Amino acid sequence: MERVRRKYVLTGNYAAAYAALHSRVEVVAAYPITPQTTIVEKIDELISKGEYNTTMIRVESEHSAMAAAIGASAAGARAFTATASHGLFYMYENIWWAANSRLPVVASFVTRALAPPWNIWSDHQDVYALRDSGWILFLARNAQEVYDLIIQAFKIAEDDEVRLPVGVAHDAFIVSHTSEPVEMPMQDEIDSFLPPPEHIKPLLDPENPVSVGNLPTAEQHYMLRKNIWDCIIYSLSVIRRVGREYTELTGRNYGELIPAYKTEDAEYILVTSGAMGGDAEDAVDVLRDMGIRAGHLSIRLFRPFPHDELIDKVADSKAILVFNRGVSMGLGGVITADIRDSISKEALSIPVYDFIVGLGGVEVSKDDFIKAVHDLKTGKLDMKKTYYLMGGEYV
Amino acid sequence: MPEVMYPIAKPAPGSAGKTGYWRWQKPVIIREKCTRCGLCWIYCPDSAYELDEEGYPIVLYDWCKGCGICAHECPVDAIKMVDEYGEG
Amino acid sequence: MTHMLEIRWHGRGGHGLVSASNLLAEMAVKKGLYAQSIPIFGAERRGAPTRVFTRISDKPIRTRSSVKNPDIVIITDRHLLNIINPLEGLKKGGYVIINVDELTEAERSRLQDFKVIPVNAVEIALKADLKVGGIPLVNIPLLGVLVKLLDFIDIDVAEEVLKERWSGEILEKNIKALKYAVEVVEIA
Repeated sequence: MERVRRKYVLTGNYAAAYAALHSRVEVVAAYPITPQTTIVEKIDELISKGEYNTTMIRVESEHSAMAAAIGASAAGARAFTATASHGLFYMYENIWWAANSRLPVVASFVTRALAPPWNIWSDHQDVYALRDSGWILFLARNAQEVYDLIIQAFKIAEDDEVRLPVGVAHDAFIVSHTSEPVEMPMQDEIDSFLPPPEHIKPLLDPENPVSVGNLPTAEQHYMLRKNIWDCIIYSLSVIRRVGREYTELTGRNYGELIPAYKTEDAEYILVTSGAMGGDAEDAVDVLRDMGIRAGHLSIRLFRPFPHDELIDKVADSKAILVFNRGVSMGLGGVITADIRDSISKEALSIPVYDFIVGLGGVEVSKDDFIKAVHDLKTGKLDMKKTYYLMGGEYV
Repeated sequence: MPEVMYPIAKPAPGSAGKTGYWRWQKPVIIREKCTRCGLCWIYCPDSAYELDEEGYPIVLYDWCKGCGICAHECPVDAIKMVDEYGEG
Repeated sequence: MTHMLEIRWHGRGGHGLVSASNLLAEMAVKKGLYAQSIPIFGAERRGAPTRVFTRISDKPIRTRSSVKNPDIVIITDRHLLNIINPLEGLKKGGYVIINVDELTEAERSRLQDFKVIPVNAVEIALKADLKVGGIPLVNIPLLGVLVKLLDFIDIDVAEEVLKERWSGEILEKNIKALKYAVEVVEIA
């Protein structure tokens, strides 16, 4: 299994840049925004060295970046873009055009808070806003996951039965600008995993003219959205299959969509997404040293939501504590709502507790998780409440 | 396994059905006045005109919505709009 | 290594701490270890106090929050001792690598619980002609101290990493500064 690999110390952003180029992406269209900028800068730098046969389109806005990616993808090219926060929201209209046109665009989103006030740090609120569009959405925990998931993203998006855009998100600075070792398969291995872009079915073909997005009947529109539902539900099996193939290639586990840590016998399960997962696992170890059976789940795949896998992993637990880096104002944590939906579908009676952490880039560390579990065990928490937990204190 | 549906439309005659029934007035060609300039054929927004071998226009009444643009544009008043359901 | 080594760098924007921390991480990885280099970005510009964290371990590193209890603190500017508290959370008996010609009496008493490695990084940088815009770069001399202090890093791997980053005259100056630091620094 162990093979000689390429291993570099890279930031999450550089990992994203290399992943796109190693996937033999043909068109990259992007506009700079902190903390995403170094992704496209790196791509541009490597293209200018003549190492990759990729066209970089410099556009005047993020709206145009996605429009150019949509155009390229509709013509059958492998297309990529990257953005963050306000750039993502400026792109938002075309986020839906990409999904509803069934185009296999892949994008890297560096999660960042929304203004005002201006804030460049991590917050998942921007990516959560894509939740209902039809994009397949991953949240990576580290630079290695960023790299691995982007390569898998192209294969998932381009699957003939899926044909949906895929976004791979990673936390601003905590992942985007942190340097760490990233192991990469050799190019020939990637090429054998991910077929060349020629297989992508073009939507636009001069020999067979069609128009995309013409006014349909209400019923046709309904059926097109229903078809996205059918395909995104089906995509779970494709995502798992692609993940297993990638695991075989690299030895890194992508068969799981919700990676688990010590959940087998866990009474208390912490649920997180993105970069805070590692610190949550530190907390699990501290809690276990105290004799508390804790475990952790990282929601790596946010949409489609891996309901069955979640239920498998929490079914025997006593309580679930969900830590959200984004909130649905007036309802609660975004991921908490997903977890409660799954619990209710199975008519389980496991209590789910709701925590909001890390908004605007506030640091999340193991003390936050430990405090939450202690308060739960001592009967201090109310399931109906949403707890805002900052620096180990409720605010 | 679902089959992907794309939001695409292919060019085809009357993909929205026979739109001629939207019409309450119809264009009628006065062949004696017609100079075969083809402007009616060019201007028709629904491609509801064809030209015969001699170049005279033929209205495709299955698709003509009766908008009257052809009659308005005809430089020699060779197209008359006639009420569909009246005496006309 | 029996535990995760945590280093906290305190400097000012423009001192090159992010580069030094990244280079250290690369050296550790080349030695078969795991490493992480976390820069803290804010509204800082050149001159503002900044922090960077390095973690090194023989196991994959999952922690991503800030380093709160470092084993080693590096201070590029002695005045930072009066502006912020770079010693916060530093383990008792931990190392303080500080860029000074000579410690004052007050500084000596402030640092008495720790192992202090004073190093005149400015002089080393000037000796190697390592300057940017006329200002001596203290990052590589301080990195040199770590190369000497940390037994899992050696001068060969340090040179190898610098060679991947720079070439020509710039590379020579960096290697010179690193080697001067290794030569002159005294570790008790």
